[in-house]
This record gives sequence, structure tokens and C-alpha cells, in this order.
Amino acid sequence: MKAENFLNSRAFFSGLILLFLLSTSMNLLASWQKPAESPPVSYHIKVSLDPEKAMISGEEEIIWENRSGEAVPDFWLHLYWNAFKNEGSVFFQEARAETGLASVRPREGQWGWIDLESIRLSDGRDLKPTLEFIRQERPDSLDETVARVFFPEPIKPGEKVHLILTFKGKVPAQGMRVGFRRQAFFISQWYPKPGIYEAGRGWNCHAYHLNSEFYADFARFRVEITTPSGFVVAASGKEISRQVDEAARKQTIVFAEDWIHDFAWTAAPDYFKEEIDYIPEKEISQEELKATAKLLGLSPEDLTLPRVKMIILLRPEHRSQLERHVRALKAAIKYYGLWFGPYPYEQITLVDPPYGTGSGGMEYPTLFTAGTSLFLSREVLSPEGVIVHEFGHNYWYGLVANNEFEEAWLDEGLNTYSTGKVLARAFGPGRLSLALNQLPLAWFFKLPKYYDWELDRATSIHIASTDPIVRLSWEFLNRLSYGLNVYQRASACLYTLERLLGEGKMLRGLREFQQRFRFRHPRSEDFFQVMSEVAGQDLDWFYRTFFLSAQTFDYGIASLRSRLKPAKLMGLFDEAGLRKEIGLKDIRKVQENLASQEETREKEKEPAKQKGKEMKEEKRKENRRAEKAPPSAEKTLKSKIYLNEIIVRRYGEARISPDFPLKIKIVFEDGSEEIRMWDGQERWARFLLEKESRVRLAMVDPENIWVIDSNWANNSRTLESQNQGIWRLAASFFFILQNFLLTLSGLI
Amino acid sequence: MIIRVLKLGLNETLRGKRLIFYLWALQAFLALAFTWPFFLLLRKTFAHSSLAANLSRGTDLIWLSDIIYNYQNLTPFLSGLGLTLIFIAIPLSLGIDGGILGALKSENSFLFRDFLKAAAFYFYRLLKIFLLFLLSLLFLLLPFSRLLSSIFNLWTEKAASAWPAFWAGLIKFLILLIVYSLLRMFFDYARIIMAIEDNRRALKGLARTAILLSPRLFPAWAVFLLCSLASLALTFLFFLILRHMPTSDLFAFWLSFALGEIYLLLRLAVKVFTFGSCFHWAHLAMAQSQPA
Repeated sequence: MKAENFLNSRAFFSGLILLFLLSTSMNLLASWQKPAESPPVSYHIKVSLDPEKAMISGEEEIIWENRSGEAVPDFWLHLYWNAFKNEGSVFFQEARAETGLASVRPREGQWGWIDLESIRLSDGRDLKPTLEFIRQERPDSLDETVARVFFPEPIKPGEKVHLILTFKGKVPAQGMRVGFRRQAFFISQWYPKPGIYEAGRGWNCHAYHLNSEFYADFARFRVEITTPSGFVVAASGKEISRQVDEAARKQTIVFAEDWIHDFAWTAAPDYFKEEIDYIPEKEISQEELKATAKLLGLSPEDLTLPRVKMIILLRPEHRSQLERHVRALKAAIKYYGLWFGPYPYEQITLVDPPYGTGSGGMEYPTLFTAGTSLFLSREVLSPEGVIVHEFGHNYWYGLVANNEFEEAWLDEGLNTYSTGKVLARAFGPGRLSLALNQLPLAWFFKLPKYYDWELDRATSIHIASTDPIVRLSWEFLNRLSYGLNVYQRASACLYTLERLLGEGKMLRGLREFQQRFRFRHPRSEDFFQVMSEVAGQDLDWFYRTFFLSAQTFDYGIASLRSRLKPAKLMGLFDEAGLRKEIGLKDIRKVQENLASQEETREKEKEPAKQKGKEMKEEKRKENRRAEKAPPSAEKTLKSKIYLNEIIVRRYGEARISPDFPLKIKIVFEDGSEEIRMWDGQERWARFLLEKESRVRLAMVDPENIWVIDSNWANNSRTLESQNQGIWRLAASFFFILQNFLLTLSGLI
Repeated sequence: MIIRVLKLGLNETLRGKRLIFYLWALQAFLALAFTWPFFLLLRKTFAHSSLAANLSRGTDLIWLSDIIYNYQNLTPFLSGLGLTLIFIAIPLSLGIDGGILGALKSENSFLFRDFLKAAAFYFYRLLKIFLLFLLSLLFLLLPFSRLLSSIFNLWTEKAASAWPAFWAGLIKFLILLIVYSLLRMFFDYARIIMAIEDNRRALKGLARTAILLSPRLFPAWAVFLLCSLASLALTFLFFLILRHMPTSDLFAFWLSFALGEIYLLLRLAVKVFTFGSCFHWAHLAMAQSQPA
């Protein structure tokens, strides 16, 4: 084909279009990918595991770039494993203060620690003599989880410092996110990890608290892990190389990844490992893609997702559950990707962690731990729930890297909300997850089914007035308050926000937040700023009311009454120059007339049903005319008029914004409905409606927007009582009690 | 002998149809007394709320969380109510057992007043036996349970999977169940033998039971276990039927409630059957042990 003909050919233009689309989608994908520049920190770690002694030893090179704009004289490091060294740590001191189910007690003989054996600059200068432990939050403790060394001269803005460290650590077995059982290890928070230097604030490097997680800067990791050969090893990042030393019977596997802020790994001889590719074209139908694009106000091309390698490590006894694990992970990758942007790493590793190590249900960049049971019920979303949740943390915590010490809700609450949405979409409601000796009770009993938002609401309404959601993790009243506030209550508030704004705006807002703050460290204000922008409304009131204060939110119908409007009023009335008295006799006469009119109407009801609508319309017109006419004492009502009174109350301390007034729906016995709005600022409001029909039901928030409302039972009130359901429940309780008495008599 | 004794027990059950009804009525009365406050609480919260419609659809987290939220401050009171129920249920149960024993000993028609007389007559001795039974649980079963746990812990504490813990839990449960059923059987026979011999001294009754049971332990236990199995089988069947019954519509719900009451009547029948069988076994054993 000649050049000229080719340039004019259909093939050429098709090729151009294809190239354009490809580059567009790649550009779109590229906008979600890791930044081109290097991250501020670089780690090169060589670590060796001694399974017999349950110890690790390592050499670590840290290259840290000062991007703060200030000269930095010192260097702060997390040494997390020292939290498990003795009871003097902040961790165990706080644990001692907890009581009941939330209590965590140290296990004797299971201590762990990390010793920084040496720390030098790359030119050989020794920084170890300057090392001291920082105990800023609890000076009275013996905590050694934060260490500081001083540089010979401050590091200037833009300068890099190259440190070489050696360390040794004893793997703790206290059942807190890291541990071992026989030869199976899960290793997290294991290396000396610098804090984040914040301009104007100094080092953000908190002690390891009972109720907190972690915070570190984005980094490049290259980690060489040496274990006995034959161990199955998985880690954050991608496996780069593997060397086996046959003589020493050891293997060294190298993992690497850029732009992650933590690194965890696991090693055991008996993991079952499977690698499966996630192929978006196979998992997402065109219809779903278009529907999601429409919801987000984007085009389907904007939602292009890349392939991801899924690496799954299961304990041998859970091997038969592979299919459920894969299905859950695929759903997570799909929905988090469609809604919040493509996953930017090549692989994701799901670990079913070693039994008894307490390392399940935890997230690390590009790797997470789930956890399951010996026996599963098809109707209970476990392990699906934990898989979706922990994968989701790669978005909220991994990519959008909030400070988990100071604003834990920004990953936990956001992720709990996101998890609930994914589970609802992918699996529907699940039954309560209760088990006895590993056996799911759902096998034997019809436990209630629920969506996650229902459980979030149910658990969070009790702690509304205890702590605000935004709070330093260790300053919550107790572990229960921390957990319920940062997870469930935050999630319930986000569900409320979604219902206020609409699902589309909510997801668009979250997507925008993800895109803007990927590979950065946002704060709560950043989140609400983005949401306000996308919503086109100032959401500051929502942030202040629900996240910064600890107030109960409860609006309800306090009373509902309906009484007949008097046909005539008693007393003396002046009309047309005359003074007339209306007495009881006159009123009775009118009432009798009305009653007989009513009777006639009832008798005519059957045949007149067809004309019913027209008659009602006529009456409405008549009433409207009557309303417009000047009041007259002599005016006799042609039909009964009811005075319907509804009192709405604000029981809680939290108030809605006047920009989002409370909707009140009033339903009458004749089937008609009216809507009233209330700004909800005062303690109560009264609504009076005159109508030919009695009110049947009044309801605040008929669309159940306010998920965070503590009491939905008082959101509505009916004039007549409805006892059917109450009788059923009481009968069930009666039967349960009878059974209990009979069983008790049999046992004693 | 076992089959014979079970047949006699069945005869007693068929003879005591009225008795079964008395038992049902007494327990229903107590259950009703403690259901009533619960009913009133529900009415207060839901009678005029459209959320009442959710109650008809079964348990859901929405109304359940609202009840808990509204009445969380009543937890101490409700706990007290629960304990009160237990403290009333125990003497009621002892009285019921006394009434059954009276019915078994009576050859004539047994009216409600006879039932109450027998309940009062045997109450004190049954109470003594009950207290001794509690002591046996405290000083025999509980230490044995702890011993079992420490033995099994040697197996489970270093386990690499949950399987040892699962099997340990199951085996421990079965062993304790066996030990418990042996204790229960012993004390049940003690009550019956004390009633037959009209013996008021609990320790003497226990000694007598030990002498009678020792050479005949397995047949005695077999009678007891077979009766217990009947109760378990009935319960299993009932819950299997219930699981497959729709409960969403009103008629279906009340049908399942009626089925539940029938199930309770049958369980009470099994209770009478158990007492009857053990009663006749004890008689036969005592007759066998008499010198010729």
C-alpha cells in the first residue's frame, strides 16, 4: 500500500484511535501511579531469621532526605518490639488500666525486644553514644519504643543523611500483631523505623500505645530475608531474586517496592501458596462498568483497572477455603478499584497467618493478614469481611497514609464504611458471626442477617457521648471507646453523609480524596475540605458536630394528637352589628347534623367508591375556598375537621445544620400525606394541621438519612397502637423462658 | 429389665396425662410472670412506632439496638430480675419433682391438690439432696474439669493449628457430660429411693443409693441415658421442623408457637417418663436386693 493511501486508509485512522485510547487510558492510569520522583526515605535491610531461637538479626541502611524546610539536629526511630520487653512499657501500662473483655495481659516468658546494636553515619561516625529513649507521653514509664540520636551537625533542608544500623530482635509472642508458633512466623514492626519530621512540629514519633497503630513516611524498600531453605516466605513488595545456599541449608529472598511506608513478612515451612492473576476484563461486566461510571460522573475509560497478581498464603488446614478467599479478594480489588481508583502496585499478598500469633486481621502495604476458622458457614461473611477490610486498608492507610496515632478514624472509619459497601454489593447481608468451639452457630440457628451499616449503627449509638471521633488514640476513655468510635461510629457518620449527599457525590468525593492524597499524609480537615468541594456545600458543621464533639444525635416525634375541631365556638359574637350568643345547645345541634351527614356518606361509600376521587377533590377545593373566606362564628362546618397536632423534639445535644433541615412526613387516615420541614435548632417544634382526616402517622427523617440517630423507635409515632409485632416478640420470649425453666429443672 | 422398666415408665406417663398438664401450667405461670415486664417494655418503646413492623419480621439489628439503647440503664435491674427468676425456678422445680414422686406413689387418681400436697411433702428432702448435688458439682466436677483442662493444655498450647483445640474442646465436653450424667443419675435415684423408702435423711438416702447402684450401675445408667436421649431427640426434631417453617406471616408464626407448646408438653411427658422409669427400676432393684 502506498504511503499516501495508507495515511488515508481506515486502518490508519483506526490505529490512531486505538493509540489515542490506549495512551488516554495509560495516562489515566498513570495519574494514579506512584510518583516519578524518589520517596523521602530509602531502606536496604538484610535480615536473618533464626527459627530455633525465634530471633532476627539485621543490617539496615537508611537514606533519609530532609524535605521539611528546617534544619534537623536529631533522628527519631521507632523500636516497636520494645513494647513487649517488660511491663514498664507504655503498651503494658495502658493494658493494665483496661478491664473486662478488652483487657490484655502480658504472657510471662513470651517477651520480645529489639536492640539497636550500632548506628553510624555512612562515613563511620558513631551516633550510638548519643542514643536516648524518649518518653514524651508517659515520662513515668520505662518505655523504649522511641529512640533518638543526635547528628554531629544538623541536616540542612534538602540534604540526605545515610545511616547504617545493626540490630537484633527477639520475636515477641504476646499475641499482638507479631509472633510465632513453632516454626511459623509473622514479622511486623520489626526494623528500626524513623518517624516523620513535620515542619513546625518536629518529629512525629509516638510510643507504641495499646490503642494505636502506626505512622511512617513513604519509602523505597529493598529487603533481603534469610531463612532456612524450605520455608515459604512472603513479604510486602515484589520478589526480586532468590538464592539458595545448599550447604548452609538457607535461602535469601529479596523483596523490593517503592512508595510504601511499612514492610511486613512471614515465613513458615507449611504455608500453602497460590498465585492467581486478577484480570479486570473477566471480573467486571460492561454493564457494571457503565453503571459505575455513570454514578461517578465519569466515562467507562476513566475506570480502567490494571491486572494485579494475587498471592495467597493459607495455613494447610484452611486449604479448602481457597475459593472463598480468592472470591473475596477479587471483589475487594474490583470495587475499591472502580470506586476509589486503580491499585497501583503489581501484586497483593493475602496471608492466613500462623495460628495463635495474634497477627490476623492486620494491614501492611501490599500485604495483609486475614484469618479464618476451621469451619465456615455459607451465610456468614467470614472470612470475606476481614479480607475486604484488610485489602481496603491498602487504599485507606497504605496509599492515603494518615497518621494512625493521631487520627485513626481517617483510615479505620473510612475503611469500615468502604468495606460495608463492598460486602453489600458483592455478597448482600450476612448472618451474625458467632461460634462455639469453632462451630458456627449459623449452622444450627437462624441468626439475624444484617448489613454492615446496621451493625455499625447498633454498636456506635452507645458511645456517642463518650469521646469525639477525632482524638489521639491513647486519649480515648478505654479500648472499647477507641474501637467503637474510630471504626463503627465514624463509619455510621459516613453512611449518614452518604445519605445526605447521595451515593454518587459521596463516592466521587472519596475518589477525589484518594486521588489528591495518594502517597501523602492528609488530615481530617483535608478530607472534609475535599468532600465539601465535591458536594458543593460547606460540610464544616458535619465535621464539627459528628467528628469533633461527643454528642448524641436524636430527633423524634414526642407526641401526636388529633381532635375534632369544634363545629361552633361557644360565647358571644358580634356580627353585622348584632351580638349573638352561641351555647351548648347550638353546638350539639351542629354536631348531630354532622353525625348524620357522616352516616349518609358511609352508606353511600360503596357505590360511590368510583366517584371517590372526584368527591375528595371537590372537598379539597371546598376547604381551600373555606380557608380563604373570613372567619365567621356562624359558619357551620359541612364536615368534620380535625385539629392534628405533632410535636417534634430534639432529644440529643447534636443539631442538624439549617442547610439540611429535618423532613417530617405526616400521613392521614384518608391516605393523603404532607411534608413539613424543621431546622432542628430549638428543643422542640409544634405543627398544627387542620384537615378533614385524622393523622395516622408522623415520622421524622422518613428516608432514614440519619443513620447516626441514636433512637429510631421514636422517629415515628402512630395514633393507633400496633401490637402485632409486640405480641409475637413477647410470645417468643415466653417460649424461651419456658424452655429455660424446663432445662434448668432437668439440670438440677 | 431395662425394657420392662421403660414400659412401666411409659405406662406411668400415659396414666399421668393430667399431671403433665399441671407441670406445664405451673411453669407457664412463672414464665408469664417474667414475660409481662418485657412485654410492657416493648409496648412502651414500639406500640406507637412504625418500627413495630420490623418486630413482625423477626430479629433485626435495628430494633434490637434501639431496645438496648433505650434500656441500657436498666441492666442491673434486669440482671436482678434474671437472678430472681432462677431463685424462684429452683424451689418450683423441686416442688414439681416432689409432685411427680407423689403421683408415682399414688395408685388413685391424682388431682391438683394432691400434687401440691406431695410437692410440699417431699420439698425439704429434695432440697437437701439438691444442696448435696451442688456440693458434688463444686467439689467433684469443677476440680475434675480443671484437671482435664490442664491435661489438654499440654496438647493444645503449642499446637500449630486450631484442630487440637477443637478436638480437645469436644473431648473435654463429652467427658464432662458423662461425669455430669453419672452424678445427675446418682442424685436422681437418691431422690426416688428416699421417696420410696419414705426416708428423710439425705446422707442415709445417698448411702442407700450407692449400695443399690454399685452392682447395677450400667443398667441404671442405661435407663437414665435412654430417657435423656429421648429428650434430646425430641428437641432435635422440634428445632429441625422449626427451622423449615416460615414465620414471616402471622398464621405461620402462631402455628409455630402452638407447635412449641406441644413440644414443651412432650418434654414434660419425657420428664414424667424418666421419673417413672427410674422409679420402677429402683423398685425392682430394691426387690432384687432383698434377702430371699
